[in-house]
Formats: sequence, C-alpha cells, structure tokens
Amino acid sequence: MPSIHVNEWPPYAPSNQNSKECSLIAAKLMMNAAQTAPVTGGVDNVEGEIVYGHDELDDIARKMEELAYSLGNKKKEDQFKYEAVMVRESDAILFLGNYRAKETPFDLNCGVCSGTLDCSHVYKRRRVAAGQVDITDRSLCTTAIDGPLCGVRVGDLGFSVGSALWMARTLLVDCRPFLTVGIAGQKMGYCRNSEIVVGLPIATIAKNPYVDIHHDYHVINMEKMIDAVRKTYVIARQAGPDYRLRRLSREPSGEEGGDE
Amino acid sequence: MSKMFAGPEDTDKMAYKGVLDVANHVIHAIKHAPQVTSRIDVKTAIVTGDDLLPIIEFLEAVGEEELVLWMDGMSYRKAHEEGNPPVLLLIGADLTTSKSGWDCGACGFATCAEFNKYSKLNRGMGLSSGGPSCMLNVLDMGIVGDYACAAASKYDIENRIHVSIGLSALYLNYLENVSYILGLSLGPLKEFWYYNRPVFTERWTKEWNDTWWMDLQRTLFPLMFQTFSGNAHPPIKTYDKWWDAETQDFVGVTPIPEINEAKDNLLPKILTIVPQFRERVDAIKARNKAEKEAQ
Repeated sequence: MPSIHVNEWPPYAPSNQNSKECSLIAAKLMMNAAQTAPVTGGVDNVEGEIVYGHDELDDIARKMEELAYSLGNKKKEDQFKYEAVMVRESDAILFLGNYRAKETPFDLNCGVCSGTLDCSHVYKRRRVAAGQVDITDRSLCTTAIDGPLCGVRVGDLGFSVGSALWMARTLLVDCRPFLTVGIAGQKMGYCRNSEIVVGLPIATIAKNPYVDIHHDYHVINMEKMIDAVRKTYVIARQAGPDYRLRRLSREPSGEEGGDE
Repeated sequence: MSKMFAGPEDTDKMAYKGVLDVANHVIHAIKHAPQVTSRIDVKTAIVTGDDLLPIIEFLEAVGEEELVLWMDGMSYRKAHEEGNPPVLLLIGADLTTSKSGWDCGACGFATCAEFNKYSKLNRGMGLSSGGPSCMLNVLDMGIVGDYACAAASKYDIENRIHVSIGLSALYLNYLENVSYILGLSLGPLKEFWYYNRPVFTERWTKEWNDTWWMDLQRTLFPLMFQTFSGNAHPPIKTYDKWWDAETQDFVGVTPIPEINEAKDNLLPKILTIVPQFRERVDAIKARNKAEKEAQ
C-alpha cells in the first residue's frame, strides 16, 4: 500500500526527503505570495529563486563562511558563520531580490534615500549615461551590496519578504529573513539581476533552527556534536572481549530476575 | 462618520486593547479545536496587568534554581515594568479521568476502568502537573494548546506557550478543578520577547558566558569537549588553552550532594511559599466575584 513516511532524522534519508519536498512546496507558495505583495506604483520589481539540495545549500553556507572573513566586517563575522550553520539545517532557501533598486529608481523625488527633494543622491553616486544609471562596470563595488539604492524599491522588497514570511507562518514552516544568506546567494548568481537580495531559509524540523542560537554556534552545533560522538565513541571501541566467550551476569531487573 | 486622529501613544494603547480581542479569538479556536476524544473540558482564564504580579513574584521566588522559571519571570517583570504587560491566557483541563472508553492502553492499564480506579486512588502533583492523566486526554490537551498557538500566530503578535507559567497558575489556583494548565502569553507587542529573550541578552555578559554558560555546555556535551579517549580517562577541554593547564578535568558519573538536595527541596520550597501567593490570587478572584455581583 503506498504511503508517505516522514521523519526528521537522519537528514536527507528518504523519510526526511519527503518532508523536504513539502518544504519546497511551501517555498513555491511563498514565492508566489511575494509576487502578489503590494508594490509602489504596481510596477513589478521583485524576482525570486528557490535553491534546494544538500550540496547546493552547502555551497551557499561555504560562501557565507568565506564572506565572514573576506568582507572584513568584524561585527558581522559571527553572524555569517552562525547563519551558515542554519543554512545547512534548512530544507530550501527562497531568495527574493529587487532588480530595479540599483538601475531603475522610482524617480519620485520622495526623499527616502536622502531626505532631499530629488533623486540626485542616487544618480550622482553612479556612473550615468544619457541620464540613465550605467551598471556595466561592476568592479566599482567594494561593499557587500552596491549602493546607493532607491529607497522606494528597497521598501517594496520588504513588502515582498513580508508576504513570503506571512505565507510561511500560515503554512507553519519555520522561516526567517537573512541578509547574510541573501548577500551570499547574490554573489553566487542567484537573483542575478538584483543588487539587494534577502535569503529566506525554510525548515520543517522540530526545533526552529533560526532562534535560540548560542555563542560559538559555528563550532558547537548539532552536526559537530554528532561528529564528535562518532569520533570519540569509536576510539573507546578499540578494545573489547569476545562477546561469544565472555558473558557477564547482570543485576536482576524486576521480578523476572537477571539472565544469570 | 466622526473624525479621528490617533497618535503614537493612542495607537499603542489601542493595540494593547487589541491583544485582549486576540485572546478572545484564541479562546474561539481552543473551543473549536478538533479533539481526538472530544471529552476534555477546557477551561480558560485571562490575566493581565497587576493581577500578573503573584505569578511574576512566584516565578522569581522559585526561579533561583530553575533557569526557565527565572527567565520567564524576568521577561514578564520587564514587560510589566515597561507598561506593556502580556495578556496571559490560561488553558486548563482535568486530565485525570478517562471518559472516552478507548481502552487504548496508552496509560499502561488494559482498560479505562482500571486506569480510572487507579487514578482515583493515586491523585498527586508533580512539579508542573497533577495526575495520573489519561494519555488520550493529554493528546487532546496538546491539540488544544497547538490550536491556541496557531490562532495567536495568525494575528502576528508575540506569543509563547509556557509550562512554567501554567504551573504557577496551577499552584496559585488561578483556575480551579483542573490538573494541568498551559499559559499562553500574548504580547508584549515586541519582536522576539520570549525567543531571543532581549531581557536575558542584556545580562549575557562575557563573564557569564565564560563561566555559567560554557560550564553548562561542557556538562551537557562532554563528548564534544573530550580529548583522546583511548586511555579510558579522557580529559575534558575545560579551559581555553587546555593543553597548557597544569591539571586537567575529567567527567565522572557521580552523585552531587548539593544538587540532589536542591532537587529534593524544590517541591517543599514551592509548597512553603504557595500559601502567601494563593491568598493574593484568592483576593483577586473575590474581587472579580464581587464586581460581577455588583453588576
């Protein structure tokens, strides 16, 4: 009789793959929810991309670990490293990016980005040709995100991320928005048209992997603990009697008594 | 339509009142939850403002030895002091009598009748619940508790289900004739009040981390900090530069008299301090009764 069995442990075993596939369905619904989020002027400006699979998520986690050091931001170093662990515990990642924030500002003179009554803050700090932002020289960027960005567009991305999170909460899958994940994913080419990308890892496991994180999480976490057990327990097995020849008596347990 | 402008202070007050509405909706969900047996009679109560103080002080009084009780008391205290107290929804039921007739055996007895006979003669109190309980009742209580949380999450306000607060309410008799209480905190209107614990984070100093927390880690995960185990007495990496330490530490499985004593003393300690808090809760309930009679 056909059945679908789910079990969180061990990760990536068939029973866990079954729930990971359901997380993927949740991710797809979240991506659609993000697309229907209210956007300024009703103009589409959000792209989404879903990544799943053990090696694919590990690649993102490794990129985050690289960025922990290569960005040279001491304050965020731990955050990148800790959140890389969370990525490895996730089932899938939904990336949401705004592909207009850098190249095609809303041109509203709204003052969100600068507090001034024009859009010069964005245009003056960019290469411009024919009155348009020219993004062709990508070597100009020395930061994680190449700003300044249009504040209206970034706000729109926030709306989209909010709708995706609401959908996650409605579906009771764990999810949390991370910029570290978004930056790593963007550098790897996910949501490639967007300069600002938010990563939303999704997980369907008993303990929400995105909260209650302690210090030094990158070296003290479930994966490391289990590896330590395997490593040390086997050492303790280097010696043992021949169990067929040496049988030891046990303390009696209950009325039935011991075996000898 | 009349005109209206509500500024930040007004909207904060309105939002707080809104949490009471959410509590009402959560009670709808609780009553509507699909139970397996449909036999447990769920009782609810709402507590907020100064009427939370007996619970807060009780948690603080018993929290010296119990981290979770201490953290929950601290989180409640800070929210109350900031004028943004949680709205506490108590969800209780008497789980001690099986009424479903399933004879499922989950309790360890062959029939419900046998369980009920045993249960009647052996009523008692654990640290957080009365018992013995019918397992299907417990299952239904879980469903009800989850429905409450799911309903609260729909309204996107900070919430957490606490056994700690439920057990306080049980000891202090906020809800009568129940054997188990879950406490669902609704609000304060903040992000991550009960999860990343901002109140706790403030106190998480380097000294506390290096001593209390790391000591706990090393106790919980000796294998993680264990060195080569082949000599049968593996030392533990207790110090940052453990290889330089003059002496090394080892883990043993051994009784620790002071911890045994503290554990033995916890329940007597709770029972000693319960009466003084119960008097206050009785006064709250008497006030509530008088108010109803005056209406």
